[in-house]
Amino acid sequence: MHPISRLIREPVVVFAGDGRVIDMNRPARARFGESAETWREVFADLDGLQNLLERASGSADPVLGALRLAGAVPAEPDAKVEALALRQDGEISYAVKLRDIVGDQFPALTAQVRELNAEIHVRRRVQAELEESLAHNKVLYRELQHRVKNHLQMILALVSTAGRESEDPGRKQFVKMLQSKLSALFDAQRLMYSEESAHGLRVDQMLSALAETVQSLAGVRIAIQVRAEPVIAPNDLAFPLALIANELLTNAVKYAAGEGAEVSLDFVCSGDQAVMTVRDNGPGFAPTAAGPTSSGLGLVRGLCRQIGGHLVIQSDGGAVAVVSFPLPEASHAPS
Amino acid sequence: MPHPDAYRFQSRGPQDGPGRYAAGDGGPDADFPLGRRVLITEDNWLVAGEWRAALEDAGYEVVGVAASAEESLEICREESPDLILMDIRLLGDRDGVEAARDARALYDIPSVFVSAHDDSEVRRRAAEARPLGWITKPVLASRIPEILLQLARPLN
Repeated sequence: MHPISRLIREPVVVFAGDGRVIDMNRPARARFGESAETWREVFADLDGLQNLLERASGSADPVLGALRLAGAVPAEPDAKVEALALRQDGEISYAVKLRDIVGDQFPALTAQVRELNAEIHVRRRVQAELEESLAHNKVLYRELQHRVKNHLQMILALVSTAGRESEDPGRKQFVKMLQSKLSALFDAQRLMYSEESAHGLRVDQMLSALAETVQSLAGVRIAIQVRAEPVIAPNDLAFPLALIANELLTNAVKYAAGEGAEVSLDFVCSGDQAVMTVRDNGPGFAPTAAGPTSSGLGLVRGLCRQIGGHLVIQSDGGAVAVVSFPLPEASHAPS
Repeated sequence: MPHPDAYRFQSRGPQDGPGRYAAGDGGPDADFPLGRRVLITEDNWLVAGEWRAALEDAGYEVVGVAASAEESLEICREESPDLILMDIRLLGDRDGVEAARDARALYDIPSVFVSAHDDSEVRRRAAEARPLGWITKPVLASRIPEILLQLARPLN
């Protein structure tokens, strides 16, 4: 380019008649890249450009116009330009100068702002998509929980209908036992997938709920004292723990001494060990050892093994059952 | 618009509906502090049957079972029950929250929600119906009478 062009601080691009870039000054190279070859790398609007150059070719002086720059973001206004037709040896070419470009003096900064704008644009779209997807997932999750709870309710209804329709006391007893076990699991399920937490549940809340159910199903007035630390049990642990507690409480209520019947459940943690103690004031455990069975102590023993714990039963002014098992320290709830 | 009257249930004894109860069935109001005549609004037939059996076992009179909001409000108008056990998801376009709100506004009949919904969003919306309480499914039907007693205690 002619040395005089060094005096011009705005970008100047020289186009051949077919739209090829044949020359650029330094600001233009900084702005559009060294490798810009055609009008496409400079402007986004062919009609506008053609119109401008046509006007320039009919004039000896520069003509003014406004053109959309290549890669302009939607919010960006069209660039103000000046075009001058250059005639040499019967060939015509056009010099186009960008006017009033903010980035003129800081081309690198302009390029960066432009890039950032484009990125923000993309990110906004991605964020909107993510938000929509999250909302959708929340709805699905709620719907799923709703269905699960309703299905569990149906199971309870089917079981108790079977009990109600029977006159056989043995069957009624069996149904009650089933209701009790199912309730224990469902209490755990209800608390586990509450809004506050999907990864675990508060052991104290679960044990209190279980005690209420056992008390209710016992059909006799009996006080069950629950003293439990506010600890979070992970899902894997909560279900077996619910069944163990239910079994021990049911047993205790069954054998606690008539009038002044008392049952207590204590749950304490120290370090990464948890201890659950269920105590009644009945006659104490009979020494007869029972084999593995789906109800009673067999179930408790099996589930204790499952959670890596062990069961000790003894008689001390009534029956005392002590279940110890590991509980990761991280799961202790902030009090 | 009618306003809630905390003592209204105490005034509704068997004398309000003579001949409605079998002789010897009229226990003290203390056993039914929220009232004895209950409307069940629950679109699951099996579950509704459970509620009915449990309530009747406990001495309540079930004045009807509705599966939709419209049906529920119709029974409210005809039977004026003391209390509605209200599910949230019902048959038809309108849900239990709307039914409970209308039952309160039109007939001053309170609801206890019995629902698998217990997220804060639904609870916020349901607050307008000024429910007497919430029972979250799954729940043993036989526990409902005692939970109603708990709800009637002022500190609950």
